[in-house]
Amino acid sequence: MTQMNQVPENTATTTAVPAFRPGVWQERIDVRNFIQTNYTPYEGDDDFLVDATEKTRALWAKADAMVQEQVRTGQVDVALDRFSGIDAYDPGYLDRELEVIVGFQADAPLRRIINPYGGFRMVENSLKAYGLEMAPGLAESFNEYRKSHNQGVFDAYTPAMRAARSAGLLTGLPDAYGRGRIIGDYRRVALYGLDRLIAARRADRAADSGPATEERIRHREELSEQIRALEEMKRMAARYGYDIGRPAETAAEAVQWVYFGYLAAIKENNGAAMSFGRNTTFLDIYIERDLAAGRITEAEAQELIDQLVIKLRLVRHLRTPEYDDLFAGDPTWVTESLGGMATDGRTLVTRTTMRFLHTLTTLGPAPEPNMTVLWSEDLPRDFKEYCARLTIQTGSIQYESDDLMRPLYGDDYAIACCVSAMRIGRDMQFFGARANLAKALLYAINGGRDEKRMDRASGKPMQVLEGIEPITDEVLDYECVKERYCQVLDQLAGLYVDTMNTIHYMHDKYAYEAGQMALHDPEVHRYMAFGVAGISIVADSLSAIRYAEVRPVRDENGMAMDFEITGGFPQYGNDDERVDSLAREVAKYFSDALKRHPAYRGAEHTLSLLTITSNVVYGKKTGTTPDGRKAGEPFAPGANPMHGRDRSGVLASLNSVAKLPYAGVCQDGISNTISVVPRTIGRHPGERIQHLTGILDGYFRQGGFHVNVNVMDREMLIDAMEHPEKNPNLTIRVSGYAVHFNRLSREQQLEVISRTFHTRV
Amino acid sequence: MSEQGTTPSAAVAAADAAAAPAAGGAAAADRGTIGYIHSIETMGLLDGPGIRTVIFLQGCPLRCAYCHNPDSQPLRSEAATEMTPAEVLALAERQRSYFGEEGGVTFSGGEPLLQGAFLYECLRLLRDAGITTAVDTSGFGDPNWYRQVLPLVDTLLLDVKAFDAERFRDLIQGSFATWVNFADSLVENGFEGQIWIRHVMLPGWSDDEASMDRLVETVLPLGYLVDRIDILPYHTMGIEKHTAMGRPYRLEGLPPMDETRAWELERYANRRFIERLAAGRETGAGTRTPAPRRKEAEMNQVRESPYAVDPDTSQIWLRDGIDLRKLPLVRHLSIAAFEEMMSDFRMLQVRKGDVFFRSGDPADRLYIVATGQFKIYRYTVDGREQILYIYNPGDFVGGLNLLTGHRYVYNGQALEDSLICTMSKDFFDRHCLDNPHILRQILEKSYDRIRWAEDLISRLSSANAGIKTAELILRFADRYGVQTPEGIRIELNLNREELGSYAGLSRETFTRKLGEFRELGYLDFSGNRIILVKDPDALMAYFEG
Repeated sequence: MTQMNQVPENTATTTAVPAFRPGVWQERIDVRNFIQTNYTPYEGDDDFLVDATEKTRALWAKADAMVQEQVRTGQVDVALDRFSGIDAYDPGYLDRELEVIVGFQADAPLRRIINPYGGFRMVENSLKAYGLEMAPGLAESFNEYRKSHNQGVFDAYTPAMRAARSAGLLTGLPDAYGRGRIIGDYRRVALYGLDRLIAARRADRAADSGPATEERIRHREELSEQIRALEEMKRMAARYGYDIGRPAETAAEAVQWVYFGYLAAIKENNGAAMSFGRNTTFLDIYIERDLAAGRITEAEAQELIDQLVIKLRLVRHLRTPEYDDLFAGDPTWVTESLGGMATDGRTLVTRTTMRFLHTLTTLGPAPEPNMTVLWSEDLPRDFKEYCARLTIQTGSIQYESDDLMRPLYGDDYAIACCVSAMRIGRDMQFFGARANLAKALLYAINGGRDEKRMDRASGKPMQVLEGIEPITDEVLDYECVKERYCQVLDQLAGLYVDTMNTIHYMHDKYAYEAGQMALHDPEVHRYMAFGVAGISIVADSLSAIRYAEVRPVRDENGMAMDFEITGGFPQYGNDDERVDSLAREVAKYFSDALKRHPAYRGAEHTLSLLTITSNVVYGKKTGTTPDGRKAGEPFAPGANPMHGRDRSGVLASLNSVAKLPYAGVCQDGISNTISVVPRTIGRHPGERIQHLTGILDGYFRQGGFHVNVNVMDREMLIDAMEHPEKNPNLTIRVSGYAVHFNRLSREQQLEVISRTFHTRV
Repeated sequence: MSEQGTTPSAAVAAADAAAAPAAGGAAAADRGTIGYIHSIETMGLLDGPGIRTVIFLQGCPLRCAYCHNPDSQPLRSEAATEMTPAEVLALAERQRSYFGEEGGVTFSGGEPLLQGAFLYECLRLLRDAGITTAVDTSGFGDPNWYRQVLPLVDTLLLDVKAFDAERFRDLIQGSFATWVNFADSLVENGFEGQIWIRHVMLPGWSDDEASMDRLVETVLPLGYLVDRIDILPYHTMGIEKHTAMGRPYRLEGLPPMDETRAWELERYANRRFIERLAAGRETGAGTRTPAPRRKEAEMNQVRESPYAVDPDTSQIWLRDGIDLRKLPLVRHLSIAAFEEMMSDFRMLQVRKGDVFFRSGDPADRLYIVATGQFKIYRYTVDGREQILYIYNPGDFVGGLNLLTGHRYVYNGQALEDSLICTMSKDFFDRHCLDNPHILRQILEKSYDRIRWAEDLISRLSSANAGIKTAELILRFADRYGVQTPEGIRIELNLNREELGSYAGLSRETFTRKLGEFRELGYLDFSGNRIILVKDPDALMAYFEG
């Protein structure tokens, strides 16, 4: 339909750029207020999106070629001559002509940084694995004059902590590497400029009065370090020719400034997960303003986002091959949270939210940045369907419930890593890996002794927990096992909290993230994020003990090494309350037990049900369990039902997971991954999108917290495993992140293939 | 039924899924009506519209050669699980949050119509709970229950195994006459829902156009009850179970049906069916009188203005960039009246979503759309929004209301940021009432609205989603369509929800039909707002003979 009367051209609007709408964000550091007063919600479809520019395409081709070359040769490039630091490296470029957004961690793309502060041994092992050596003198000086976080922790560990760690009861602890999981509010760099942030922090420092308690001394020292970090950040950007002392004025500057903020974080830290935050709605304000003023075109807007995402895809950290064993595919968890709703009922989806997702089309599917859609029932329908379509096409998105998180965190939180929510710039978390609750169940049966590890001195099974009476019954009695298990969990909780306190005390002392914390409020709320692996095994085991007959088969040491199960029993993943309630009770019990032990710096205890890909390694380290799982067999990832046991279809499986409580219990996230076969989710492509949207809506309405959705065939994966060259970019969601399938180890590939594929023939 | 494409992968023992504390416990006598369940699939996305939980009932009188769930054939089986209708309802309630507007529970099998009493109670409970139902049948149930069961079925998945008595006997050891009887007596038995025809295509048996023609003729008497025809390509996964049960597999050596070919033939069959229906109507054999379709009045054409537009002086007639002399109605005013109007006119800047008059408001102003678009709508008794009309630049609303002094009986809401000129009743009375050009325009517009209303009634009164969708799209094509080399391009400011509302369908159903039309090659769409009609004749066949 044509419009009858066009408004005559107005030549006056093409140059003037309107000022942002005023608000309290001008008086104090308050990015949320700026967003709320200035953003434009977008409820339409993806029709406005455009292809990548020539520049972007050429740049990405170069970048991709470099990445493929490193994957092919298995060799990495490391800046060997110096240690990490915000301003420690010369500027690096991939192609100055093509790069619209600049900045690499070191002085060249894909060149990794040596960060010795988390743990020196980790660095040495990593370099050794790649046949590299750091510049002469560096190691000697560091070891002579500095101490790492790792050394600090081991100076303070107790024998019990060491035992729990070496038996694999507590694993993945950040005691030898950077803890990560902290999200700086990188938007502050663009909105305020560093000069303003430095001034504000100086004022915070000056205002911090009171007696010099240990706590206050530490706080003052940290504020001073933060000021120095901000100054370094400014110098780092100046090397690239930018003055980020002042606020960003254009869309291009806003994107560049935010990226500089993040770049400082990944130059300074080698954290396990270095997440990006929630930036698209913020950036959209600058982009829409420039578009409206005719300063940029849609193609240029997309170019900014594409080029930002290229940079995010090229983030690399130096890690050991063993780390890769645990977390496959060289993940960096550059998690960006997208969408969600504002507390006033408007959607936080903007055009730039879609531009960001659109990079999966312009640049192709990829695991990083870890795109996390904050799902709400109230999200615009078009946006939901767009996401569902991208999931079917690229498998690169994860979904988390905004409706569960918004009441707890408001509308300016982001996800760190996979499922950890925090208010941006206001909360941080002490990352705590996870405890193996399946192994803990075996401890309840075996009197606190480990079923795999032998004590070197005695040649007997290693005693990890003390004072637990072994169960000697011929048939396991539910009440007895439950009572012992509670004892184990109580003891484990105390040990776990103490271990975490030790780790984070030392991390603050030896590897403090001054740059990231400078982009927080001066006073932050801290979470201590505990984790659990093996919840489905525990639920099924308890169910078997309760509803079937389970006879332990004991070895000469009286250790239950196998179990004979007679009769059927309800299994987690079928929406069967008899067993789902057991999963819930265990999670709640352990969460409560943890909370009884005070956490370092007054942190609030949270708990996650998340394994990432480490479910394979957990399996290796855990003996046969009473649910029928054999020793060495992988755990189910995250909160997933065990492979093949969720036999009532996807909805029943989702319902079981959705029953696990989030708020106050598993408040560091509950991870779930499902795989469905394309042809079973609808006969026509349009139906598939609708159905997937409906499944997501339904799951989150049931109270589900997180879900990764893979729409793929087992045959497709087997083919990709046998012929990796045919599909180099096949991306799949594992637990909480995505990986290139062909960068998984064979073992991990087989595990993924063995998972339940919901299909009907 | 245990035909291809409708059995669960893992042959789940329903006990695991039912979460029923009583499972396997209490004696049947204590529990009232009992169903014998083969298995349950909580997420069925192929057995009826939307997301559905599929309950496979035990028992089937047929012995289809390709049956891949032969263990579901006996009515009583060791492996079967007993469930009460209340337990079925409880299970459905657990999945309700996924069902959306179209989804619900599907009863398959086996042949679900064999367990009439149980099925009847389940359907009744589900309907009372507001959950839609589908029954997947091959037409060989217990006829004593048809009168009770069929009125409660929203979607009937009707399997057509073959198209003549001989093939029927060969393939499934059943009587074609029984099937025909079943199909013929559906309406008589009180069935009021829609039908999805399904046919398992075996290579060498029915994989050609001639067979599809016969399929179409077989189901043609069902007329507009049929929503679509699904062709399920034969696969060989049933062999294993036959072997395990020690049964011979009669189709040994038959390769699986090529999926692409099956898909081509599905498109062919759907198209053919609609064409045949239309032809039937032409000869008076149709079941429904089609809505009359005529050329729209040329309301949108800008007619010659009585004022020659002089670019030098046009400034003074400009208001917010709009040359007021070009607006309909007012361009017929005398110069004197026009000048007076300049002071009376109010320009209303409305933002997308703004409601600028409501039902019950006095009609004291006339609204003329200068730029943008708005809709008028009201709420139906069940609380849904029903769009009555959409106004575009040059359209006006309120003329007749001003003439008659009636209040508005609908709401006006902007679909995009719009500029709307308003004229007071006082000015209208003084300058427009006696102006024949203006009155004529008001009459024309009123007439146009009445005709749209008639179309709306005919759309809403049809139960067939295909007709509703096709008709709406053609109306839009007529009115707003722009001919392009690729087809008729319609650009709309309505989202799917609003389009569905206009068509009298839920958003999900409308979107599904649109998707089906795309698959059939009738149209294409880009994003949600641009529809490209590629084959208007095919759409027309839905409602015009």
